[in-house]
Amino acid sequence: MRDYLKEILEELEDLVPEFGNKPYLFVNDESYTLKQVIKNLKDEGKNEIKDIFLKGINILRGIIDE
Amino acid sequence: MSKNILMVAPSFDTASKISFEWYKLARRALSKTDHKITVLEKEKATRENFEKEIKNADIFAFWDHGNVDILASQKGRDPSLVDKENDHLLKDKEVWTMACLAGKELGKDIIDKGGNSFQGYKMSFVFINAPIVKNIFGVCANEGFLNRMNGKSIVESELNQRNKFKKLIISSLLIPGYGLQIAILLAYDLLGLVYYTKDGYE
Repeated sequence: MRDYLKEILEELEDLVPEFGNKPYLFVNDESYTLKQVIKNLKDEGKNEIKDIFLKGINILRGIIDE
Repeated sequence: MSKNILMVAPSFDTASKISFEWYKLARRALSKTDHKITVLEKEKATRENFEKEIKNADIFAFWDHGNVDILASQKGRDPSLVDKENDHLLKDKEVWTMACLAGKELGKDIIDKGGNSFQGYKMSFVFINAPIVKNIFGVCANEGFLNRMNGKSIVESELNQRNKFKKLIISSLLIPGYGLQIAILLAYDLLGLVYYTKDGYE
């Protein structure tokens, strides 16, 4: 099974030179820099950003399987 | 059939400047229709103006921040544009919004108070601020509303919006450098998409 979390981290890290410290991801009325997004995704603990990506990956898998 | 449409789009932070661009996409698309359109943009997007203008509208469309119990005004939450104190004004009207979370409570309250329909999101509407791709999220957010404005039924509009999400989720995978994150975040947004009608919201 594809490791989407690993792939998304690779994709995001390639964008750090351009977007690293700029507001990048918007969630409700919060914004996260790209570096914050990467840090949250790497975090072993549960957090809002990781939860969003994990839920999105689950839906994406379902759509690809359709 | 021509409808009276109230389009409201505050713009006061980075996120709402982006959603304002999506409002402009919709506004341009509607210029080809014969609907009667009233707009409340930026400083005009106040609670007072909403309460005045909504009386003459069949359809209310909104682009900006929301939360479980509000849609934001140009001043944010204090005061909000719509909350449970004034959402009875949406009785018999259609509501279309990309606002985060409003589908969780406010949308249901609108239906409970006689609203005709509510299209919104029960979770956050998430997106990224990469210049060349950010409008993909807006295209998905606008799709149901624009279908409806072009004469489709609410049921058809929902089906077409969900299909648009799925098509763009798959095709965005091909975008170099951004594809996977867009696909995953659009998938999350699709998960939160809700359509409520007088028939119910479960």
